[in-house]
Amino acid sequence: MVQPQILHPNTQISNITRQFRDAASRLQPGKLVKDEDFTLFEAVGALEIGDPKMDSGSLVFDPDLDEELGLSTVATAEETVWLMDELIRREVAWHMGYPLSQTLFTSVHIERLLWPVPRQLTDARFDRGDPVATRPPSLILDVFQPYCIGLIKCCDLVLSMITSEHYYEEEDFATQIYNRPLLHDFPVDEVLVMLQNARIWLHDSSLPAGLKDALKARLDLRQSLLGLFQSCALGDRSTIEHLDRSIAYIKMVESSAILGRATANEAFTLKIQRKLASSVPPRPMVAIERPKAFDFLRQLITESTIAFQVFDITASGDLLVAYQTFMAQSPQPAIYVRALLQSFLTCHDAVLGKFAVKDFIAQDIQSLVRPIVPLLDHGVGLDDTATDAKFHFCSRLDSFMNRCGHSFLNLFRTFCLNRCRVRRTLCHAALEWDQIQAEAEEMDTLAQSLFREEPMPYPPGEELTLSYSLSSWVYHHKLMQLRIVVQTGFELSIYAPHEFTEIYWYLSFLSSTHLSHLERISFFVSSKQLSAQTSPNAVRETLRNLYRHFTWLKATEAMSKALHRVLVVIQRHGQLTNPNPAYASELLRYELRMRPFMHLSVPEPIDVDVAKDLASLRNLSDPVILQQASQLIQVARKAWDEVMREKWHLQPLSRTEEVKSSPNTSLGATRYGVVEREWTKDVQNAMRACIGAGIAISTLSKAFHEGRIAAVKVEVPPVGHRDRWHSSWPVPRISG
Amino acid sequence: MELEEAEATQFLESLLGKTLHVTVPDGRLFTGRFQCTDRESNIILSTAFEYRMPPKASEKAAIDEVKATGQPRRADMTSRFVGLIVIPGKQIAKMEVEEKRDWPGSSGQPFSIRTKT
Repeated sequence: MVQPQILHPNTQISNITRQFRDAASRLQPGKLVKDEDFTLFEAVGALEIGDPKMDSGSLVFDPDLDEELGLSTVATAEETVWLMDELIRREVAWHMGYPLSQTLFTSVHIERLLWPVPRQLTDARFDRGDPVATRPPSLILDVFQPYCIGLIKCCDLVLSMITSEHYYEEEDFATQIYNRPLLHDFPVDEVLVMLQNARIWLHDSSLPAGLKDALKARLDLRQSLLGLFQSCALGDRSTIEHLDRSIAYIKMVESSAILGRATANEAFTLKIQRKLASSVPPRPMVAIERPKAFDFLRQLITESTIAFQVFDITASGDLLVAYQTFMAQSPQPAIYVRALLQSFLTCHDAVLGKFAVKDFIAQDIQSLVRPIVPLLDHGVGLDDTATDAKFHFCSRLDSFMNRCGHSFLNLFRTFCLNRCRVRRTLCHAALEWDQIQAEAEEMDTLAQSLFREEPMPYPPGEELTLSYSLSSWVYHHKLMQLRIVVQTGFELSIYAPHEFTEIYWYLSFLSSTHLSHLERISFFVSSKQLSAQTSPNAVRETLRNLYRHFTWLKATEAMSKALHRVLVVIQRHGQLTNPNPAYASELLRYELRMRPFMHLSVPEPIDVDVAKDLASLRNLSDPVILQQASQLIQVARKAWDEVMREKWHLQPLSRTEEVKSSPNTSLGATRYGVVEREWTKDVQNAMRACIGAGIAISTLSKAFHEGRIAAVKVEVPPVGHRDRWHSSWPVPRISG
Repeated sequence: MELEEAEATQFLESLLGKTLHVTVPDGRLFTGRFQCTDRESNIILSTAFEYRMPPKASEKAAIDEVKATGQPRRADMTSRFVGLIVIPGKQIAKMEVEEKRDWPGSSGQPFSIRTKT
């Protein structure tokens, strides 16, 4: 046997090549020798060494690899422009979710600054290791190097923001940094000084004016991006002026990109992937096309700035609308912006930096149900005469509010996820809120006896009942989530057209349930008993809040009922019918679609046969159904008009100093009032869908009366199509 | 023959869980925990690291520097984590096993520099 080699006094290695081969060759074909805990399932994920498709370190096709990465420390101004623009294309790709190994970490310059990991900021240099004394001033070292450092620091701030909030690895963003901390430990201010010095260097240089301006614009853009990310990290609002400047820089960068010229040396290479810790196969380089990259950047900067407008919102209900509306934009805001909005919920340990979670949720409950129990300061009134029961109740109420606060804030966070995750998370949340509702009912029961609430007949003239304020509040939020689950199902094209009939029926069922729930709430809020607790103004406010929810739901209910009817008639005449594939069954499909709703205690799950029966409207004739549909769609139209009149927010917005001091306030507000703009667009699109449905109904009625209903052509424009007026409202288009 | 196979299996099983050092034809060295093998000597290593020889240029620079200054100078191998890997039998140029070293004459005490004096 070969003599073992001693690696370390306590470790030795012995060559077993021949012994191993010999032993292995004696195994029966197909037999494995393996660790007990190791499964072949895991082995599927293993990288095969030597296979160039899997093994990023394989040298097979590249004998030159052993060359050090070539990094030239000279570049012309044209080349520097090109290098900066190429980096931006990769930076944007990273923002969009591609890993660093395929984007910025293909740059030899970035690699040189980050590896070996610099101990001081001054170590991050292209000419690290070279003798320092003989360094002539150069564009690469005095301008491009600070630019790269600025870029890396931007990435560091972006990464910190995203990883401190909810995001989905692979779906939204790739957080891997391959043991190269992105200059994380060095202060932003020092980097800003470097960028400033680079600008001065450039100013004093003798470059031609055009190139000088092009480089300056790139440094300015970098500086303003870094400034923006820094203020976002601190929760500071940056100004509209700052935004305008940044947009102007992008424009300059974009228009001067033509000056750039590619470098002779390879500045971007996949070879670096061989050095990065990696358990994935080699992957291609990704750089976003220039126009798209700049568009992305513009949107990123704009949204990161105007996102701060939500700080002007003063009521929880309005904030929820704002989060929902902001995030429903198409294209959806970048993951950085979605993380930023989440960070506002815990800004300086308070919602929007000003509401303690408990106050925030108490305000939401108050504004909706005006409960008989005081939610805050309920300990204050307690004196020696207070009973144990009261103490007990107060502590339970506290812990209930804490628990709710968490779930309530998660609702805001949920809207910041990617669209598929919004729906999925709401499906789970519905179950959680079902549980909360049960707890709330217990609290209500305790409160009733403790505060001696008098039962009242509801509906008027019927049995006596009580307000159940807390659980009413929970149920309201739960029903809203259920409705969004259904509507995002349309938006995400989850349902096939032949399923629309039943889904619209279910949507109308949910909205009807919600409407009667709101009616019940408003009955108790306006009853003498509860309104005696609060000021008439507060009661009026709550009723107005309820009314706003009511109009929105009325529109939704009427429109879904109308569309349900249109689809029933269409399907009766052999259009959009179920293709009935051999492997499918009605029951399985129903179970699948109703899965999020099947385990709730309220609204009670509906049996498949009952649902089918109700959705079929089998006792109604075609003309009756069409007649109903056309009445319903008019109701929907009026309700949407009313929604539009009511505006998106209930409470006035607080105006910031900045807006007040700006001379053209109204201009600024309309130009940047993103929630207002998006909300209005949403309602307008719903109205257009409503009009579209009206046209479908009259076309269908006409065809029916002319006896050619079986010959009409029916199409449902898919999401993204010009004629799909609203993504959550598919409307059939009928012709012929 | 059957006995031989049993012995072979026993030997291979004794290696499971140990750290192997495997050199492949292009000169790279992989270390990792031995998990599985078969008749073709294909092996699976978990929590593996890849080591590469330093680039020729920096090796040469180091040698030149040693020659010129007489001071010791290192040109380090570069390493990275690669996780779970399969090395096909035909890629194995050399295989070594890492083991705890029994210090001759010691009574199971681990070796330490201090006890040497």
